Amino acid sequence: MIHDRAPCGARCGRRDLHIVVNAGCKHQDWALIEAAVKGEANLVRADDRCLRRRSWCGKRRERRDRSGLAEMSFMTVKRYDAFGRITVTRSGYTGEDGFEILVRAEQAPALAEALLAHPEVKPIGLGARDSLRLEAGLCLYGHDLDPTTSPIEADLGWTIQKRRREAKDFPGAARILREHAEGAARKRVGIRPNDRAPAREGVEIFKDGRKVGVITSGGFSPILNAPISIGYVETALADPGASLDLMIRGQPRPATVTPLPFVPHNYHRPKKGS
Amino acid sequence: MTMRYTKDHEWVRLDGDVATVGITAYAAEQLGDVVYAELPAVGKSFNQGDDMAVVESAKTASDVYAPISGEVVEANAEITGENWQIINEAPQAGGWFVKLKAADKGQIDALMDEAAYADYVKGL
Repeated sequence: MIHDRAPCGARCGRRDLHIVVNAGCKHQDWALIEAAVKGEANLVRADDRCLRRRSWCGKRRERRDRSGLAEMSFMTVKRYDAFGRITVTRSGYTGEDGFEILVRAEQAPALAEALLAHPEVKPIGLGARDSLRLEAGLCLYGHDLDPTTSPIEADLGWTIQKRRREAKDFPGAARILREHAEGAARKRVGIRPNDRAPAREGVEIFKDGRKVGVITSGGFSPILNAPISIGYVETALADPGASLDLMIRGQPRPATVTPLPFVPHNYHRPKKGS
Repeated sequence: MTMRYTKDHEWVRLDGDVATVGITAYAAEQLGDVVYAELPAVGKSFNQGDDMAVVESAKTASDVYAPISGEVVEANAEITGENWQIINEAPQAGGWFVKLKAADKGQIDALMDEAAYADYVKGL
């Protein structure tokens, strides 16, 4: 979700909020947002926009940069008159420094071709993106999150500000605030198999022969050269270092609860005054 | 003896009574870098089409099926010794998976020859 407080000008006092919703959930999200803002905001669909991502590698490019992109901090936004009109955010879902670009759909091929004309730029697909987000410990909707999951279980309590917790005015507040105070029964954790066999979605997690959870995402980390997984376990077993067994093809295999992210985030956050 | 191929991208090559089995260069290419593989124990028997081994890349886990019926007489020590790379480097040579004592050599003749497999892959 991209927050954009539009610059003050002729329309001073007006605030825009641009929301890029999960493509698979856009209809239900639209309905929820429409119901929630009734009378307080105008909703405008922008179905003609599409999203392009690019990672930002190397200092060489930054020295040549006159666009102000290099000074942008993580989670900030700029607009440019290029390829029609584009919105650039220094964000992404990889745990790495990078940008996401919102562009009108008809301009997207030209933008992609212009980026690919640089010898340093290589296209990647969703498989590579999935390795990156897994290494970064980021949830994939429909796998690590579904409509039954609470943000407390998912270890995403930080997304609900103190002000909102005090106001208790958001959907699901009763359950979420109870779990925030008392803890949830299960918790999302990082899990590293002790051997080389990757544990993928659906692998059941056992402790002393008793089922205690399930893997919701898993694969192989090229950076760590080792398998990594995300799953939910009973909260009592969620502390880093806890030993668990992963039932892979009928064989229990030892694994260890590991702090997330597996690979440290590399977001661009310049120090104030530098 | 020449190699024969299955639609599931295994290859098999018969020497006397023993068939060497692996995955094809096309399969290895599609998987990308192999990060793990699990081979069956020596002495295990399979019917044609049974799940016999598992090969995993960063992208996905794939079952490897027994291309013919038979008993495992040898598993590739390179792979059990965790040299997964050999599957990408030489899928149809040093990256073989197992040797099977063929229960019915006739099953091999019914598989695709090199030209038929090349045509099959072209159509995918």
